[in-house]
Amino acid sequence: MKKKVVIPNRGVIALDIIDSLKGVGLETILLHSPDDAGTLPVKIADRSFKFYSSRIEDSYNDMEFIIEKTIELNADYIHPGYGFLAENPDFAELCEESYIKFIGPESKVLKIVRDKILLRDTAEKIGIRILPHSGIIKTPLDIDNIPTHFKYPLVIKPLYGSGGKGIRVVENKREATERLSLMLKGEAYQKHGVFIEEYMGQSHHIEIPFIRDANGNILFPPEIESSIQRRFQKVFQESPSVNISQGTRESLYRNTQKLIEKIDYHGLGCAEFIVDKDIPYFFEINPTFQINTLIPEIHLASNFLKKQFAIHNGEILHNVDGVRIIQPKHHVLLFSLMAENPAQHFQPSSGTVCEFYNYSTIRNIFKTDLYTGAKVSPLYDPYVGKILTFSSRRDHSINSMKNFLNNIIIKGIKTNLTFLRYLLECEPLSRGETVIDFLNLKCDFAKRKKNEEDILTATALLSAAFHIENRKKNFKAQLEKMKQPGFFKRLFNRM
Amino acid sequence: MKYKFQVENKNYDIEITNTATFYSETSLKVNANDFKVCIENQDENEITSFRLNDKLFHVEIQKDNDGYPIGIYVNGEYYKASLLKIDNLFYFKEKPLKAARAGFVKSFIPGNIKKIFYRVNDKVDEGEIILIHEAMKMENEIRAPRSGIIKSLGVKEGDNILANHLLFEIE
Repeated sequence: MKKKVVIPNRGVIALDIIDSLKGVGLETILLHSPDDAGTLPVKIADRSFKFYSSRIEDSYNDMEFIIEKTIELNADYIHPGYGFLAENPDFAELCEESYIKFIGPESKVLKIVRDKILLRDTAEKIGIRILPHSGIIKTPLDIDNIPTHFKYPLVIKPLYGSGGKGIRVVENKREATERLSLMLKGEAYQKHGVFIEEYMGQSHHIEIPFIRDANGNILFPPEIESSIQRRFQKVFQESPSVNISQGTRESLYRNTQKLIEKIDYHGLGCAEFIVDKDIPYFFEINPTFQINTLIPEIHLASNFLKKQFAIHNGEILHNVDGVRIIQPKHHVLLFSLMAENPAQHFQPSSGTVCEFYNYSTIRNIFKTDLYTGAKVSPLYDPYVGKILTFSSRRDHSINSMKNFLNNIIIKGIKTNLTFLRYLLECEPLSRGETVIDFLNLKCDFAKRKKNEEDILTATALLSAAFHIENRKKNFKAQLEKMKQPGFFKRLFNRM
Repeated sequence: MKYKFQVENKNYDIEITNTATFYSETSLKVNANDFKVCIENQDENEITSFRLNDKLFHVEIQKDNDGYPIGIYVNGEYYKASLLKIDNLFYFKEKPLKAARAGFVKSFIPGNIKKIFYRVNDKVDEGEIILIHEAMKMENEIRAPRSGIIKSLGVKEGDNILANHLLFEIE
């Protein structure tokens, strides 16, 4: 009999998991909300079950229901995916207590990783340079706890946050007080608290993906630079980074190794560093399979979800003895496709896709859960796809990405494709000046100048469309006139 | 027919033959530049794509309540536009009173009411955050458009609402 895996997740992530774990020979069972009933993962999963409600607390975040369902189905594994319960130690613990294998790090590791300050302190103790931070803030009065040498702008982060949710940048003390008092009115932030660090707009955001098995063997794919972010969600990622030296790169690997050995981390993850003037500062670990896991998959030409599953199934890494660092062969670029409208302050856009087309080759990958007729729900994250290109040279990758984006057509919903195209045209991007505050400093979408020729084209199209409508309107008015009594009589009299 | 449009804050004069339907290739003039335009695709009377000078363009026209254009998306890129003249008739559009001025605040996208900080009859100042409206993981702060007293609240915490739902009214 096939072993079973339960997947309480949605969208592109669920699609990836179902696809990979089917390949391993598992029976995939998807739990989805009623709102997601028509989506692609539901179609390709072996079996699927509905939650009773589309509210997040009653669906993807409902631990008891998921565990009960897993036991009822007699399933062996749960793959939490990314987001929702994936980083939640309580859920991992609940799985362990119910003798269900949770595909992810153990609950005791997740507990350390979730508490960002605890993790940083652990790292500092073993000699890793960390990003300076304030203590935990639980009431707005604690604002005086901010170290005096911190310079504005500052970032306020929830202690237990993930996925960029709740993170805010503040410019001055007044704003900080206002923001803190507002955030601390929320129950979750009040309970666990928030903390503050400096906003380092001119530095780089570097991630070290890793995978570690039960014997302590570690596989390090090349680093990923994901400095360019909107609302603290990664928009553009590339690997390898052009902004760090070989020495820094080695120290990043060394530090990551030290830290994950210290906390005895097993499985897949990503250590995040801020690199300022070639000096790395550690700040957190993402303990899940992620959107950007596609990049290491390209470098290694292997499926990381299968590797992750194998490790949590007790196997050891293939072809790795001790620590193996992979040298980059390609230059990989990755974009996040979001269902939001760049013309209207990036408002999320929902609706039905009425036309969908893309042209892919072996070097251009577009993973998405969209298809003609797909519905994009307003309840969830606007993340709808990942677009990846690779090539041996950075400029070639950028060029082929331009071509790839031009051949993606999505109608019915608004997407950030225009924004992504604009980003690629940016001079600083092709020079490799990717810094954290890139979108404000180097490439402001709101202030872009539109091409004169394009405006002319738009005008021509608009007037043509308007003319047709105007004609129809006049024609209808004429018909109404003819229906009035005495119209033909008057016409004859005139003749 | 002659039209005058304002697109991205510049004025354009357009000339189109009266009988043009664009079902076959027809030329039109924008500021003395010639374009050849033809409808490529149309569903339910809405034109979705044009061929212009042998290139394909996907369009979507944004209209105001009276059916006049206020902007156009061309291949996803937005251009704001307004009609100034048809032939020699000026088209005056009445500026709609801003909903905010009147004290009514409505939701602009569907979503969920996460938190409400005030109750009915509370006094608020301009710019204060009245409630948090969560849509697709984004938390939008809805602020008071002016100072006054909250006359009514159209939502409760936890409500799932559609776009254009009355959130609150300030008097």
